[in-house]
Amino acid sequence: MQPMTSRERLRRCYFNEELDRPGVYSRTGFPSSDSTYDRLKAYLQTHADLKRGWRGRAFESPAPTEQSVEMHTEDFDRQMTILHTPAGDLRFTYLLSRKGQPGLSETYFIKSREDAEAYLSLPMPGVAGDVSSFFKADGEMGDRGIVDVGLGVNPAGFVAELCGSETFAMLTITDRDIIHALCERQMNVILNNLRFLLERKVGPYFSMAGEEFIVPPLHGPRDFWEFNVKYDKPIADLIHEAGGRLHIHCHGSIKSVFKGFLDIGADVLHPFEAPPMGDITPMEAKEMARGKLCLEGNIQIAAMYEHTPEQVRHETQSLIKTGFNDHKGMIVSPSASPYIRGKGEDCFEQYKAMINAVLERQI
Amino acid sequence: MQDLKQLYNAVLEGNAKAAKTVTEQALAEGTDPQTLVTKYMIPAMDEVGRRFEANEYFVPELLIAARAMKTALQILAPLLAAKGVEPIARVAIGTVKGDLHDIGKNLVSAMLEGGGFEIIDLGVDVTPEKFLAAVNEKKANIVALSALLTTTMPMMKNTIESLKSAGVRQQVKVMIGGAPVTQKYADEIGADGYSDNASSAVTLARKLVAK
Repeated sequence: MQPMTSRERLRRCYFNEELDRPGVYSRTGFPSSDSTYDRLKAYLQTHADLKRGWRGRAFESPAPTEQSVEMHTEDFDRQMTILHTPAGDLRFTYLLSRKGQPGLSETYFIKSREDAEAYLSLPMPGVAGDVSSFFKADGEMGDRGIVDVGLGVNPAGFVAELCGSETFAMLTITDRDIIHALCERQMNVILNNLRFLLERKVGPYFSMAGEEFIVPPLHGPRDFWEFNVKYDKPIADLIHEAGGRLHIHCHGSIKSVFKGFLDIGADVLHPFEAPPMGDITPMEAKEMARGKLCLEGNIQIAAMYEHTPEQVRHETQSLIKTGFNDHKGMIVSPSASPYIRGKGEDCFEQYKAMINAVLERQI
Repeated sequence: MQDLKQLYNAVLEGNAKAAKTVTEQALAEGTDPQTLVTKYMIPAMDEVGRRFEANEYFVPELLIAARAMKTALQILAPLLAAKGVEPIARVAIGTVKGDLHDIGKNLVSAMLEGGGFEIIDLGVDVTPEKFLAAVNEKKANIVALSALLTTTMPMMKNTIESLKSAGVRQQVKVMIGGAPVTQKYADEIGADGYSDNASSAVTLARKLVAK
């Protein structure tokens, strides 16, 4: 088979067509201002299939908020955000690392049914702006890959973020109606935004995340279908009607809800994790995905830091053998972005081993 | 006479209001508070744990059952203390230094409390010194360490080393958990036990204090 450009290869991945070899990609949420990753960034840029993110939700009118920051400890600052709603103020606090490490949501906008009702009193955001940067990015990308239009967090995941996982979990039992109302509102926010983009011919590659808030063991299959499938499917349908494709990023124990991703209409799913981080083997994932969904993954990110390059090469070869036996539907990728500050050189050879193992599979 | 099976059901179904009402009525009728805890509430939480492990219950059901248990316990705790009833053990629990994830830790806390343990919740980003202080000052019998990140797992080892250096390692049992943690890792760092979910953490804690 004639070698494909990265753009064509990824198109075929998303549209589930025959490939010359699996795609190979890494998410690019590198630690900020960390030069130890410079060599890896350059290597990925020249050897991997590329996806460049473009923020598809940047055109919504912002919610009326005020923000302040105070010192919390020597390691963290506390960032407070006040959201002004017609029914009263809602507050969210976030602990922001002063040393470039991950932060933590401390308190959430929605702590009760009353807070949820206040949130629902907000007017729907307007959508306006100039989308020409998408076409510029797409032109710059050329044959090296695709531009991925990020739709952000899915409706239910967004609601879980508003509430925090524990309050969200409790409200799904005690006040299920209000969770549905919040999800429906957010679905309409995303649909309005999406219509705006599609009318301006932005696409065809869209991505969403957030389903992972409502997967086992956090939530059972019933919640997955009632909150994720119900409110994601209209978004996926709209994308498909316009000839687009949807990528979903979701960690967790997804085996029992895998069919739910098919019901949503997801076209690419990342990652698919075996124990201990998840519960699905590559073989199980491939059997369920075959002909319907492209799998993106799954070399566990920890392997990039803890395994030898030779181990990563074997893991990649084994993954390809299992997941690419139909020459379709596979993008080899780590389960997450490189994330450990100062360790860019430690994982470089492992990334190289993963990519080389894929490049050797050229048909 | 109050049907005490209603207390079991109230906890199992996460009905905090019913748990409170039944507990108050049972006490008014002279039922021994310890009986309410050991014969109805703890078995109900054990059943919650069983259902969680069997994928019949998930986090919402677990949290709401723990809330019902806690509601009843708030009524019973002063009465139990007055009678000199001790918890099974005191557990100092926290997410290790550098790690801010708390959902797993909170679930384990809720299940352990439901299982009859006293919880000393140290929160997230907990230094080895804070765990040590909980052992020395609050007489914790178990130290429970949580980590979600592979990068913070070594802090579990550091915490155990701190307990050793301070000469209190033999006084306490150390259990660890978190998504990337394994039994192999627990063995490597010298923890006494590892649990992969909130429910089995209760079984593990009971085994550890029985040793």
